[in-house]
Amino acid sequence: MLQAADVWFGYDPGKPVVRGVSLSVPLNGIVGILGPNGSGKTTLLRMLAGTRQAQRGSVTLDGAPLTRLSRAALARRMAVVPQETHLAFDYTVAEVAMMGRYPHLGAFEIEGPADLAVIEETLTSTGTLHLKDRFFATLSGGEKQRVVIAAALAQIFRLPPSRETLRRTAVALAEAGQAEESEIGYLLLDEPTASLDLGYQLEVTSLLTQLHKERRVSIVISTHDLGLAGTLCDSLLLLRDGQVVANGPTDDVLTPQNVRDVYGVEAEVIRHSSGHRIVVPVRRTDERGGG
Amino acid sequence: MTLQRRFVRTVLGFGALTVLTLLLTPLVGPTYINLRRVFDFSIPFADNVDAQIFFVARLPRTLAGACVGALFASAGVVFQGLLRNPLATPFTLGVSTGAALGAVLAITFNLSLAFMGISAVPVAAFAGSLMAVAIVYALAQARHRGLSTTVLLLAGVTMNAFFSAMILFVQYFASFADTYRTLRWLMGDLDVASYQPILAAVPTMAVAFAVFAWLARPLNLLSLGPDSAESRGLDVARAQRAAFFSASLATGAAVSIGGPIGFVGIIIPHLVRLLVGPDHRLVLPASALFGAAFLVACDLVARTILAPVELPVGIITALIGGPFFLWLLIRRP
Repeated sequence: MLQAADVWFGYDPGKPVVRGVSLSVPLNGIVGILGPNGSGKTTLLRMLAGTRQAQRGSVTLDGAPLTRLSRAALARRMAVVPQETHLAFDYTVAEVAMMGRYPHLGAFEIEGPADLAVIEETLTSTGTLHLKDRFFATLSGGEKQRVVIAAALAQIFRLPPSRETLRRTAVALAEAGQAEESEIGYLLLDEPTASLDLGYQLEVTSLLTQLHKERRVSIVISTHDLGLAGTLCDSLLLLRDGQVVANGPTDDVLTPQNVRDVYGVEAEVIRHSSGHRIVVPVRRTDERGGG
Repeated sequence: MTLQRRFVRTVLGFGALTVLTLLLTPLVGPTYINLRRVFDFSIPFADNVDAQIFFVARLPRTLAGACVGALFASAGVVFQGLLRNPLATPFTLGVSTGAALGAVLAITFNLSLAFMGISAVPVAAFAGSLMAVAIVYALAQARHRGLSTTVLLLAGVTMNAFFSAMILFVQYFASFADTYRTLRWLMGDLDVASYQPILAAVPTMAVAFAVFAWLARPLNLLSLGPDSAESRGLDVARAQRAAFFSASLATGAAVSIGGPIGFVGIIIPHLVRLLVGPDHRLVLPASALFGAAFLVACDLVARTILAPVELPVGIITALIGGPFFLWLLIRRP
């Protein structure tokens, strides 16, 4: 479980952009962080990822504060997918995916056959294995995002234990009588579809749904796309000016009242027969709460 | 092919090229020397002209070229990876000129006082490059998303102009003979005529190359941008500090030996990336080796093309590097 408890953060002293937010992401959960531009979504996500430290409050992973974990240990448990990735040099898709293996290797260690097998697997599961030898810069936006997700998966992917370890684990598990859950990592995505065309948006969302279902990856996604959040997420956190407006199951949070409060827009929330939720903006109201 | 095998192939390939260049170039020059006589130790050294030319003039010059070429080329790779900009080099950033200012100060005011067995020139050159790098660092910190090409080149022009002015100012106090010597040195000259400058730079070189070896993987991650690198488990601030520090060390060492020789730091990394791809674990060793061979070869041209006149090698590298740099600027989108 990834948890933030009453976290605060500001880039300039006296101007916090995240103010007292609490959030829990259960194992195999899929949580959306919603809010207008500048509401603190990205900053909150950075604190969850441990790349920014909360100035007040704390973020914990399975009860341990992130500040107590080493960077590598943390990186092996969760990976971040940014809105866009620009590379300084012409790396191939395979090389980009391989960068996900960084926290698994020592300072002078070189990726071995096992790491190659991992990226082959994650490229396959993101449908990008055929692009392996292409230059990353030549891909479409959707393909790039899928490759970055493959790298992120390679980062939180644990190598299948050797047969000997498996045997011993099986014995231990049989003795303890419980299933192991620690294989699952967290994927943190910062507006992963914001700069994509409609088709690529669908490509990425359906990939996320599939990863969540089949590989039991826990997902936190920040977005200002209400429809995407409504379709994808079990639960939502709605932010305005760095503060929580609503937090809970998607149906409870994505209400016309909340949309009006946060975006200043009169809207209808419709459930489509496909299971998708659609937010129809009707007109702008004047009671926007600032931000 | 696995990375291990690519690494071995790359190092062996470029290593062979470098070794071959280093073995052949001392034999070539305006005066013919007989190899058998060079290594005929029955003749007293004072009477053995061939051995004198080989050991006093050509060998130190070749070694100096190899060290300086390797240092500038790998420092170029590190600056480019660190600033995420393929046009960053010790020369274009003004770091070479900063190091030159330090060295010129040490030479002009005769700071030959060696402290703790370290000669003053490399230390002063390192101090100068560190000062220049501190300014680049401040610029890079102020712009979180990396330096744009425009900002980077403008900063380089400014720093080069500023440090050049300081050098001219120092020259104003120097004697005519000193000024001539310094000017020639500022053009980039490998005519060291002794092993002393090379030996004096050995400690700095050793530290710089050791840090470079550690930096190879962090530089790969930094190509993704600082935030993504951090989330992959890299201590970005530490890697950046290590990169700035070691690249300044390398630049200081190179300048203390051969002066601010330009363009090696941009030609070599680019050619190497075309040959082996962008992975810094291949680019760094290959650039160091290829840079050594390249500068030694350029120096061979410099000292033979107008023989018996010996040109400073900086003229040759600038004649090749200038057009290359323009081509890169035009080619980039």
